[in-house]
Amino acid sequence: MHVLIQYAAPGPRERHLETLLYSTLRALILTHAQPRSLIQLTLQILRTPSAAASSAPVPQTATHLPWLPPLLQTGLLALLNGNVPLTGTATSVLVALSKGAGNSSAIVLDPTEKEVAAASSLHVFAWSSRGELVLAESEGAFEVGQWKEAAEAAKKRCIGAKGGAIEDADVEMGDANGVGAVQSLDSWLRTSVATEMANSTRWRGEV
Amino acid sequence: MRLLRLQIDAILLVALSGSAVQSLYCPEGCRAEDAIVIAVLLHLVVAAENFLRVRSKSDRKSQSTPARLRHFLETIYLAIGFENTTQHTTMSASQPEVIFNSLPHADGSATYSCNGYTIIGTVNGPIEAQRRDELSEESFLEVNIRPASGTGG
Repeated sequence: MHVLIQYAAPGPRERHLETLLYSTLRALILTHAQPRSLIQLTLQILRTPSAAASSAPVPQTATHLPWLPPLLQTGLLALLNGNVPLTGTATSVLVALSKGAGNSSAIVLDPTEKEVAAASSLHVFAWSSRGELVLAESEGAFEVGQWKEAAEAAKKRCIGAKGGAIEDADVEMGDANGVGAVQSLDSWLRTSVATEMANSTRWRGEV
Repeated sequence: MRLLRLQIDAILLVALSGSAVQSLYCPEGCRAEDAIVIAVLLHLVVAAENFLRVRSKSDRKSQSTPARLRHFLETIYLAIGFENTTQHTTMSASQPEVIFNSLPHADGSATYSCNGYTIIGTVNGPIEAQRRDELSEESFLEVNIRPASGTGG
């Protein structure tokens, strides 16, 4: 009897994404704090929007950019959970620019599959919590002005309108950004980590 | 008379603006365009049923108009695949979700889901590096990405 298990193997796209993540995360990890050691980060994709509809593998022609923000976020959350010393956190978002009426272009944050297919250009931006741009990947046809607009929109979504004012983060968390306002990804990250910390140190009875 | 009123209701639905139709007769997360399509379909269904009822001369007065409308709508939603409306809403620009410590034996792990993506990430480190990977001044970072299915492209 011969049993073969065909496991999902990484291809060129995954290798490329690995390189992008490597360079982004290396800048965020305090690598000099632990010389001659290895930090191993493994990211297993469990579900993608297109795979939810059918179990067929993603076609090779598909863009790799929509994968980048969730991978980066997951990697960073895992690093935080593993107590790896970091210089700071970063959040990232996918931005799609689609042609509007005339010369104007519409900016879509977190676009759906359909919007990605219809977009004229795709961008991934990662902003650190201190308001620095740590990753910018673009694909498609666009102009510098559009890129700047997209970057600003992404910054707003990632670290809020204040532009990375860390000292205001506690206040922001306290009143949960009002009712109508969308919580920025950075404050979401802080809230999640704070909740997790509270849960894992509950046994101390200090809360 | 009641049949006629039903039909007029349906025509009015079509005449209403997309957003009004959406708020009145569509589940959450359904777009205005789809709402209009639903309204048109509803009109067709009502018209067809009227025709059948006139022909068979059967009378089902026990069912009220709103109840029948709801029934029709449910049938249409099923037909065009709107039954999982909750999934539809979570797909569009929702807040992400994270579960920490999803793998107990790794140093750190997190399961993250956002916009239809679910990824599980694990961190091991700092651990001993292989001799050839070892950097004397800093730690070596290794990133592995595994696709959900098939061979990656």
